[in-house]
Amino acid sequence: MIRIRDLQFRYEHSDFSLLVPRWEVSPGARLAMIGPSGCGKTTLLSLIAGILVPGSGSIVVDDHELVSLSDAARRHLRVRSIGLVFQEFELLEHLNVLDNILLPCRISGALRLDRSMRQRAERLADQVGIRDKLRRYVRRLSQGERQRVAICRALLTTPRLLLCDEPTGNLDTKNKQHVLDILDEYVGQTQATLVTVTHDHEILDRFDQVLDFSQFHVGSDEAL
Amino acid sequence: MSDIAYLAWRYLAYHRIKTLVLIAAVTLIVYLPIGLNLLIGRSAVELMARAESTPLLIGARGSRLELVLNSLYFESDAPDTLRFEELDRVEQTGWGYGIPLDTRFRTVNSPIVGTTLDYFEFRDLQLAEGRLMGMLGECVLGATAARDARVGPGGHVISAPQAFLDIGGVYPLKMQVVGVLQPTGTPDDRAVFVDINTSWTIQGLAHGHQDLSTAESPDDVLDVDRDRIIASAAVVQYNEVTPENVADFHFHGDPATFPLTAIIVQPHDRRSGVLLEGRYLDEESLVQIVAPAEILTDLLRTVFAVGGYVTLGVMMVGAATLATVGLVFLLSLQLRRREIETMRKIGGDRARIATVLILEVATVLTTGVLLAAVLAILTSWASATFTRALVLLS
Repeated sequence: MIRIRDLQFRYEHSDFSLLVPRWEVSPGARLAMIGPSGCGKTTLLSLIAGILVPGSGSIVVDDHELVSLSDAARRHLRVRSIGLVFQEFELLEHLNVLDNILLPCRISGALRLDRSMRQRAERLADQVGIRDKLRRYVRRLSQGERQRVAICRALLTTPRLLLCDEPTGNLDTKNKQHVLDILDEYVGQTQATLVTVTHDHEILDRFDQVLDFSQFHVGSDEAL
Repeated sequence: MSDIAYLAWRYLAYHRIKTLVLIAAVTLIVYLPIGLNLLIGRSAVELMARAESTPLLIGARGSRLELVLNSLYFESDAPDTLRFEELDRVEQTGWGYGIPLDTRFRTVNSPIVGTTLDYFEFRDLQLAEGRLMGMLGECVLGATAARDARVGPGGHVISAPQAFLDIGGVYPLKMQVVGVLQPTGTPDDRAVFVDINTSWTIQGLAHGHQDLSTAESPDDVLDVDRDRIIASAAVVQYNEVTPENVADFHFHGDPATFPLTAIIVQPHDRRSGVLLEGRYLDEESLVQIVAPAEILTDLLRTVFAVGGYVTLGVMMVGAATLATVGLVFLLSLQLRRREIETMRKIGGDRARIATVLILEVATVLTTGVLLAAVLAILTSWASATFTRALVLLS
């Protein structure tokens, strides 16, 4: 569950600002956010993930008030409960597929890389059809395969909230449907909440709710 | 392996070319000044050890350094010669005894050192096999000379012609090897030792041919009068001394005037040495006396000064290279900002991410320094052999 109240955010050294008076996403919802480029969709995802901290207001994710959490606590919440999928995949080229999937365990002190985690990584890779590529470097994968690796990484800790920033933006039609099927299947199995930013209106019918971002105030400091 | 170390290792292994170049740069930066100083230091020790064990040298007036380098290390061009009678003069003073040296000749690979048996005792040279030379035309090989020539007692070595187009020159002398010395790690290892008389024979001051007074072939004699026999060109000179023909070898001229390149002088005591040195102070004299240790000290002072400048230069280049290496790391960090940001976004601890990056740099630096240390240890270990090969025997 996500609950936002009177959220205000602005970047330093920029006149970009975001105002969200009131917004809620219920548990298990499949929400797509649409809106023009630069309107703050990715910024809102980063705020929900605890990567950015609002200037004022409240963000509650799974009963955790992010604003009152320390930086370390937000990181721990993120790595345990929130899965992130990016448009550019954001994989580390010097790691192979398996190491990329397991990266959250290696880079966060909140997780422990044990046998069960490895087995889960292999199982996820099996489910998305890249089991035979676990030892390959990611530069040798297709775009669709890379996004599947990124999804496996996001799902490694069985997150209750999945935040996807244009996950199909760089994919062809076939891979696009494949990735959405994977996300649908995961959400269906775990009742996790899915929030996806997209520009692709063809995929909106795959979501329960569509949020037009223009309802939130985005503009200059003066407007705030 | 910890997760952090694993991530650092994976990055370095993936970018292995860059990693190896950086490690090589660090290794060279650290090793070069150390290795250079080790080699110079060791060279100095090697050179000085030989010089200090040779109290005084007498030679023809000329380059003192050339006299020392030629007499001690059998290197550089042979100095001008002095007369054999100088040896008698030294010994007549009663202040010391001398060992003659004639180093003007070579085999293909090795210097030929004409001397006396005293030289072996003076340098404490021990036989590995065979015996010392006892007859004209016999030679004893240093360990390296024997190995290079692949010859031992019973074999032969041949003196090299002095000049390729010297059609009037003497024939090369075929010398019988009668002994091989134990290795000493000094220039003696590469030398072919012969008796001083054999050295003069190589020069042509002595030669051997059949006895013309009893020649069976009348074609060998052009003319005979009361005092002399004029041989024809048909008389072939011996190019090897054997027990059968050794009696036919004879010298022409006064042995007192025969040439030496140097005389090693061992004074009986310090006072005798000073007195001997004083005897050769006359600048008009055609002969000079030198203390090799003093000459080498002067030479090494110059070498150390040059070495100091070279070390300074290497360190300046090293500093510039280190700055470049640092720049490479900084640029690498710039290029990896997105990767670092990704790790942070997916929940990476700042401290762990920083540790991964620091570990990468530390691994490169540590590996470079360790390799440099290994090279320095190897250099120190092998420097004696190395400097002998490079400095003394090159």
